[in-house]
Amino acid sequence: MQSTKQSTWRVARKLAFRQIQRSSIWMNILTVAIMVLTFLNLVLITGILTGLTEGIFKDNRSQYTGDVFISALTGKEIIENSYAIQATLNSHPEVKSYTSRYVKQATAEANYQTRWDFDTQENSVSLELVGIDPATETKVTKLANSVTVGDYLREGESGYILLGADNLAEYTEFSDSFEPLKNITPGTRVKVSFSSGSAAENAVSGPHGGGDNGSGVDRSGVSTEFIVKGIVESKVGQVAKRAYITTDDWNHFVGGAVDGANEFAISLVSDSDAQVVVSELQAYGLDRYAKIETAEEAIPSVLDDLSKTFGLLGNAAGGVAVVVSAITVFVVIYINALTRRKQIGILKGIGIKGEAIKRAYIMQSLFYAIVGSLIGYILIFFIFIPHFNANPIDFPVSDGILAATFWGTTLRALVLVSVTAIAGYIPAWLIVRQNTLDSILGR
Amino acid sequence: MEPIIKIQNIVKSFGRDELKIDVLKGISLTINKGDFVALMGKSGAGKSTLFYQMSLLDRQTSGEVFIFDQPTDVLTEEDRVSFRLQHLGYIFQDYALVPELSAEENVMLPLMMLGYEEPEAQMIARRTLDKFGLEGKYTNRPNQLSGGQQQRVSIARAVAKGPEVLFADEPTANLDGASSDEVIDVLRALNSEGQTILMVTHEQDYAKYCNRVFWMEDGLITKE
Repeated sequence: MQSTKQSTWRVARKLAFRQIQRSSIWMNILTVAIMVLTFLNLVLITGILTGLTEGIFKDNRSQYTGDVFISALTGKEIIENSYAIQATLNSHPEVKSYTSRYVKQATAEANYQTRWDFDTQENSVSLELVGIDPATETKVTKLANSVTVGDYLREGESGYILLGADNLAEYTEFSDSFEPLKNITPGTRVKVSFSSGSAAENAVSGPHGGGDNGSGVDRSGVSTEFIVKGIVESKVGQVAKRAYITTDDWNHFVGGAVDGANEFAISLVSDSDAQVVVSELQAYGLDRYAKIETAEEAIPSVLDDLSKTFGLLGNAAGGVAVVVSAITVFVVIYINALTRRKQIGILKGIGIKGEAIKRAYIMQSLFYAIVGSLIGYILIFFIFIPHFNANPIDFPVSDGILAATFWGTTLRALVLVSVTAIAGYIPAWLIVRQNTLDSILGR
Repeated sequence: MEPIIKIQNIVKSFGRDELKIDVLKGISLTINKGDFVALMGKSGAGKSTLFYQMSLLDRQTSGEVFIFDQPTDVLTEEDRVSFRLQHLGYIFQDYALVPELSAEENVMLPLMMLGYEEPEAQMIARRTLDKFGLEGKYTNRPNQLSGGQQQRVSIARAVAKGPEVLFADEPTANLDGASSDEVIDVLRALNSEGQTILMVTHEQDYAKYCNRVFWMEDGLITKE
């Protein structure tokens, strides 16, 4: 003989099993389908919203910051003592490679060759001109892959420029606030100027033109002509709004003005902890000369806020999904229990404890929730995540993936199962607590 | 004569104030061990209401129901469920079998609730079904059985646990003549083995098999 507790569970199990097994297959399929959809709603909405921001972080890391990003201190134009930082990076065991970038605010003009007077409107755009070593940049970021039209820069070549798509009318949709360059294709010549005082003193002729070659008006003191070699398309604003030349041209163009780099993007060996590397670099005292951050820290704060907002939205949507699923299960179990009210009365009449009957309904609810969640797991981890990884959603700000971790998904499944159990218990409790004879007689 | 159920001055009323109706108007009777009792009367006489009070499926408005000399008023709803499980058996007019369970599972359910292990409960269930001529029907679900067979499963479920009193609420009302006879034969056989039975019936033909017949009229017992 078993204890009352054991026998209550066994009777509940028997009733639940048979009710599931012998109820309408379509009813079971429908209920499980609702649970699957609820589970997907719970995971997918949050996962896609999180994936959108994760995509932003991922793109920033792969195209701009690397794993660790070093930039000039606030208020400083360049990183002082750049050579000390380079020396440290060269010897740090966890640094796989790094790239130095030289950045200066500049103006690029497209129609300087056909604009013969001051009345004709100048087609120019203000942008960040960046000097890079094409080879080392490729070791750290995927800038080369972002050149969608034309070609990437080659080491040692001179006179070419890559233009970020955000500066070009044919590629950007955000052209209301400024006038982008028009009719730019690889091979087009543009004049690049900048107005740095120190640079002006070192005005040089560029590889394809002089400071003022007669085809444009040089009002800044330093300008030169480049041939557009490629267009850089990227959802990372920092990448797409810049223009890139080789460090050789940078040295010619800016000349002795190169006191130090403006940025270092660092790629770490696999399994390295970026935060640890940052702490080590700071411990060396390098933070006196530069801001040293992980990729996550380096992302613009507006994106970080966006990420948190999407996280909140995802949780809110998930919360709504849980409430919807709870109501669905409540209705399904309530109708189920209501149609069996007489039977429940008879079971109580012949001595089956109300607790056993209630547990039978909880088990049914759990069955639907667990089966629904398991199918949801399979769909998410074996279909949706691989699919979205292979075919990211084309959001304007990033390539969205489905961000769903096993434990995050399990937590959501547990929430769903718990809420479903409660939603199954309440209607069963409502019916079971009714007067036994009233239930039997249906009054 | 060992009294099993004793009721004293049972009143059952429905409604309130001017709308109050006394369905039972102060009934007292005693049922002894081994009795086969028939409760008879016209519709509305109160026989089913009395049946529900005596079988602890309902609570009387006033009066006392004693089973084994124990007052049942003090039992909570939960205690009543346990009491019914341990001491009383029920046969309902419409068989009241769980449609999702097989014949043997219907019989096993109260046994499992009593604490029997599943294999033992199955053995007892099959033995009881055999006794009522249901060999080979163990795994049939209620909708795969005739009305008479379903009622015999219902009787098997009620008696498998060995209740002190068997309550039968118009057990032949939904059955044809032959099936009704079968059910009455089963009840007679049980009574001959010492089973106390209280049966509500309209059928005078079956009342003759009972050793005691109570006639009810307008909420009172008018004749025994």
